Amino acid sequence: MFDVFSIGFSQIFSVKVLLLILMGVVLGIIFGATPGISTSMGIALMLPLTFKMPLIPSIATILGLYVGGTSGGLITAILLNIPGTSSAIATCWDGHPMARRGDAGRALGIGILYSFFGGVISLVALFFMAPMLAKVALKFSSIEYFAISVFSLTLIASVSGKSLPKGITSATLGVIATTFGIAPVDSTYRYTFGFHQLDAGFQLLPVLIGVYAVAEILKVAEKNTPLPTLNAYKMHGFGVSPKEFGEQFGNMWRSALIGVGVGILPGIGGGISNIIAYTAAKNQSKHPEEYGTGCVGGIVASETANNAVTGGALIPLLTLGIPGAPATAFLLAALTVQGVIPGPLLFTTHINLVYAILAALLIANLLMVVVEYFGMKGFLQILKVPKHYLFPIVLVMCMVGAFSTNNRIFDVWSILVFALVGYALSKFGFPATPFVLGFILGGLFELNLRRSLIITDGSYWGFFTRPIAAVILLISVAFLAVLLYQRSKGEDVLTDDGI
Amino acid sequence: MTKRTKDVVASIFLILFASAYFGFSFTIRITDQYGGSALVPRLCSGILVICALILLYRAILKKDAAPKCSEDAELENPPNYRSVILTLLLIGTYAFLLKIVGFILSTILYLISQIVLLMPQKDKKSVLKAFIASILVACLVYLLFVNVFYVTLPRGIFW
Repeated sequence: MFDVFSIGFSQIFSVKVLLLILMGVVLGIIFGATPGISTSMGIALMLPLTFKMPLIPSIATILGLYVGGTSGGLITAILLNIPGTSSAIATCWDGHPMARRGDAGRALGIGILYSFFGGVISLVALFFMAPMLAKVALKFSSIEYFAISVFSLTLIASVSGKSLPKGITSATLGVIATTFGIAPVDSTYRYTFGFHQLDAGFQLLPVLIGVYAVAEILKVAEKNTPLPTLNAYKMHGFGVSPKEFGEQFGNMWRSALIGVGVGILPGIGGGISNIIAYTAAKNQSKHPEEYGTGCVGGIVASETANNAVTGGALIPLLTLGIPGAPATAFLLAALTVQGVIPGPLLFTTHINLVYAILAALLIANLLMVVVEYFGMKGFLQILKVPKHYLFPIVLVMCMVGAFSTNNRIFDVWSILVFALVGYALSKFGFPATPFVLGFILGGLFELNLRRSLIITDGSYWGFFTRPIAAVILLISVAFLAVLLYQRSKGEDVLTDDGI
Repeated sequence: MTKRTKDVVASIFLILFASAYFGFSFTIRITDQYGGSALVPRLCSGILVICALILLYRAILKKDAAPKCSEDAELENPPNYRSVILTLLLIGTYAFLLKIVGFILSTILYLISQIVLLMPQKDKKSVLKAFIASILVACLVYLLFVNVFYVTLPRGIFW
């Protein structure tokens, strides 16, 4: 393990790369802390900066943004009861009550410390699990990849929002968006109507920026509500005594494993992990009635789980090319721009990149603790920038991002089209995340479906002759069946509305 | 618009869209016996229609526990659709002007218009502040992205 990290560190330990990670972490915390700008949106805005950088500095910057953004949401969650990102929803439930009784500094300290622990535990999980999964994935044929894409789409359509048909509709629309342009396998033109700019189809980055970022700006234009005033606070250490650390040890590990597990599941991320971990901590606690009143365990569970997603989500991304969480879709975009195709072969052709990612994640987590703890007052100043200045500037950054993908105005118009799609989905109560995951997975889904049909000579039953694919497809069906049963009984089913 | 009306409108739109999408799939050249490049479009059309019909059934025939609180919230704080439409027009104009007059000028024009549109109080001092901020941001972003990060941005036909 030591030699892995030494190779990784040797690529990261230059002043330039360390400064880039620091810049990423600081900007990530700012975006994460600002309600209305999600981690995904923040990464989308900064992605164009990385296009001209070499591979490792570019990925290191994005990882800094990801780690910082995931953690930054706790700031407004605790101080204003408004989660900066969906990863910090459960942090509000005990963080804000603790702040209201005068212990905001303690709540912030606990949140920062356990964000670090969650991030480091997930990093260890990534180190051990990713190479194992890559070895298994090398044996995958197109039938297994097709099964995984079906499972991913089913999963994300089911847990996003409260309506299953709406989730499936959203995911299907995302897949439909990939059918414009030249088709895979036989390169026939589809739905281009002679418009040659559409031959290459829609690009991932303009779709992401349009649906996640510009659609949010339209929602701000619709309802321009100002933020409530921040309360004063004082930081006192990291908020836990050695005794409390011991009491929360089990909670920390359980929440971290939940975060890693949720991160591994394709497409769902911090938005759901913090809630599952909080619920589990409350159920396992000797004093569940304390949860919701400013209990340490609540903050520990939420913040450990949401940062534990960061490493977990990289496992399917690096081994299969499927983003484990929506924010990692941008990492996929960045890798693609740099000419790297994530998948099991990454562990042979670009093993140095994998080591560098591990090292960059560790440094990003360390910098996150230091920057968040000592820079708290600075971040709070950013929140004072009025929305009517902030969001137009964000839109300009979006335009830069879209244009710099391929240096063509078509991509700029694409973000407007997908902003309308994202806004319409939101107004009519359809979740946006399945749409984006449908877009990302649509190509994988179709390519592997068609290849699989060639292998099985047109027989869909042939898919079930491969044991791994059969199990994954049956799990997808079983998952849907259980969900339908629970919803028909009116049980409150966990949903992930987050990005 | 109530939740049920929204679901009805959305369902009808989805059925129409799926029908058109399915219809146009017959213009796709099919090169194999498994459905070719029209397979996934037709599969997606079918899924869309099924989901839309389920939504329509639920909206028309079932009485759902409508989330009254969100409808009441909309009455107390009604959405400003005028602002949304103007924002869309501003973004569209920005995209149109980007290649013609270049990044800096189009960004200044966009920023000043958008900031003033979203501003809660539009007095002379605030508009002047917005104007200065627009020029500064446009120039800073251009200099930073072009000279530091080597990103290409349009200069416009007048350069």
